[in-house]
Amino acid sequence: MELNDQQLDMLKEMGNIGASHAATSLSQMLMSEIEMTVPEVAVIDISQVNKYFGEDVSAMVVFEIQGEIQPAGYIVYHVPRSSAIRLTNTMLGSTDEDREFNELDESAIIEIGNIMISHFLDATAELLGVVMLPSPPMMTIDMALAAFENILAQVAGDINEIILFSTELKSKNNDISSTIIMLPEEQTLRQILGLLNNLINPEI
Amino acid sequence: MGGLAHVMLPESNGKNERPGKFADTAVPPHLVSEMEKHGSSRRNMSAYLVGGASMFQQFKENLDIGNRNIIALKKHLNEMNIPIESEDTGGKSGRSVFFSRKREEK
Repeated sequence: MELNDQQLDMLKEMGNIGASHAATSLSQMLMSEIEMTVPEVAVIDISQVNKYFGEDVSAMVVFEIQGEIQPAGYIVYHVPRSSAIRLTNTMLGSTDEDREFNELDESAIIEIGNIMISHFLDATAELLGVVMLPSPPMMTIDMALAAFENILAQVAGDINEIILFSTELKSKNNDISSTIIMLPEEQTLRQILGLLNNLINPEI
Repeated sequence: MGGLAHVMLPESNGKNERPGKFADTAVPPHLVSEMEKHGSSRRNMSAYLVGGASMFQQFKENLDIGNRNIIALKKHLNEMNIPIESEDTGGKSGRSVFFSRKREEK
């Protein structure tokens, strides 16, 4: 699937709106300033995903996008392990970084992911005027690439290219970096593009 | 001689533009025949299976792809009479594979 410049811009803007809502909620939870990058939208071949995701162990909270179209795709809150520890430390008032990732950490990360992704999808769904809901969250702590390959196998049966949205959210005070990644199914992406197009060129 | 296939899905359903993507197209027609083209013989081949983890078992759309990949690969290897020397499959965690033609000393 080819995307033209205007379509890429529209998708970036949509990602921007979603991510800024997610960033606001993270900022409130951490009581700290959050920096956010301009969202990247890339069409990548499935054989190239290893260039985007590494083998570093990360905490990933994964959601299916549910709503009007099924299956709509996946959205992932990705936090590298060391950042995940600092993130939960900040929330739970601990300073010990040199420790195992425990159940409390897992449940805190799931909840943070849940709040952020709910805000992200709420904001994008409202913009588009559609229903998009996150499924209950699923958490894994594993190599990022391995987790994404698992998700890819679900979406890439008939296609060899995927559309990847990603935005980085950083808290400088706490040295935390995290990424929101969205993997829409092709039909969902087409619907999103159609809706965005209507927003920009309303029929009179 | 050695070869490695990294499959994503169990069945191609007739799609053949990416033989490496599916278990049924990657191993029998592609990897094995490529190796034979380069002088290897099927009778001397043995296989190692690694992977097939399922990290997201709770998903509604979960198709248990990892496990189906393993089953498909075993079936195809069996049909070609290629023995499975060793396997490390299933579970919930991803695996890193390091490929070397040198057999581990036993």
